[in-house]
Amino acid sequence: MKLKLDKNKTVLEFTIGIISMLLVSTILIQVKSVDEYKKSDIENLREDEVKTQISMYKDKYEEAEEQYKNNQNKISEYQNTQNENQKASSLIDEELKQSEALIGLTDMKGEGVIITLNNTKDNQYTSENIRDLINELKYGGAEAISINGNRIINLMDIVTINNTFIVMDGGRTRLDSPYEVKAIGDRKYLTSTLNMKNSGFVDLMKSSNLEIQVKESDNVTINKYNGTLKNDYMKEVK
Amino acid sequence: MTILFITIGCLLGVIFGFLIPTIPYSVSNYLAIAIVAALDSVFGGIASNINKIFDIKVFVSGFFVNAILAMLLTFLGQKLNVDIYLAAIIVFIGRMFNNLGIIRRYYLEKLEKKAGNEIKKKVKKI
Repeated sequence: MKLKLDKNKTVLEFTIGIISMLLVSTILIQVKSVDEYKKSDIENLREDEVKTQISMYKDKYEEAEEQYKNNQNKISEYQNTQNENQKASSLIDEELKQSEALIGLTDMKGEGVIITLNNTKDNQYTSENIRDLINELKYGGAEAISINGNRIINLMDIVTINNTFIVMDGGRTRLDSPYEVKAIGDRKYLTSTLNMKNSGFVDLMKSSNLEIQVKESDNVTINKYNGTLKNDYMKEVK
Repeated sequence: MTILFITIGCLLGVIFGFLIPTIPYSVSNYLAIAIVAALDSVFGGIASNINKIFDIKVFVSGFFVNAILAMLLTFLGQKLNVDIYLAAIIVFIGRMFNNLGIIRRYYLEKLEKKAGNEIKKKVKKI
C-alpha cells in the first residue's frame, strides 16, 4: 500500500517535471523567435501594418518610376538639343574657318606660282607695277597672294611715298627689291596669264628692262595676315 | 522531492529551448496563446494544491487541452477575421490573477500565523 502510494507520487512528480520542462522550453523558443523577428524589420510587423507599408512602398515606387521616366525624357531632350547645338556650333566653326581663310587670317598652302622681281640698273619696279601684277594674279584666279611674306588681303594698298619707297598696308610695311610674290591658285592658268604674248606682265616688264622670274610650284605656303582688321565707320545694314 | 523534479524539468527545458531552432513568425501567434494557456493551468494547479483539491489528471488534461483549444480558437479567429485569441487571453489572464490572488492570500495567512505564533511564544517567555 505504501509502495503503491510512493509510485503514484513519483509518477505525479515526474509528470510535473515534464510539464515544467515543456513550459520552459516553449517559452524560451517563443522568446527566441520573437527576438529574432524584432531584428528583421518587415517580418516583425503585423499583417495590416505590412499591408499599409507595402501599399506605401508601391505608391512611392510608382511615383519614383514616373519621375524616372520624366527625367529620362528630359535627358533625351537635352541630348537632342545638345546634339543640335553641337551641329550648329560645328557648322558655325566651319563657316568661321572658311571666312578666315577667305579674308586671309589663316596660313595657307597649295599649288601656285612664285614670282621674283628684281630691280636693274636701268629701271626700277614701281608700286604701279606691283599693283598690276597682283591684279593680273587675281585675274588669273589666285586665291591667296603675298609679297615678301606679307599677305595681300582685300583692302590692301600698295603705294609709293615720296617717289622713293614702296609701302603696303597703310604704310605698315616697306617693300624693297627683290620682290618675291607668291600666289596660290591654278598654276597653269596663273603662268599662262602672266606669260601672255606681248600684253602679258612678263613681256611688259622684260620690255622695260626689268628682271622677272616666274616659277611654278606644287607647294606654295602663304602666311596669314599679321595686322588687325577693324571697322570703325561701317555698320551692317539691317 | 517535487521541487527537485521541477528544477530538473526547468533545466532540461532551458537546454531544449536553446537547442530547438526558432519557429516561423506566423506560428509564433499560436505558440504565444498556448504559453498563456499553459501558464494559466500551472497557476491553477498551484492554487488547487493550496486548496487541497489538486488532481494530476485534471492538471495535465487542463494543461494540454487548454493550450490546444486556445491555439485552435486562434486559428479559427484568423480564418473568420475575428481576434478570438483576445477573448482567450482575457479569460486566461483573468483566471491567472484569480489564482495568484488565492496563492497570495494563502501565503499571507501563513506568514501571519507564523508571526502570531512567535508573538505567542514571546508572550509565554515573558
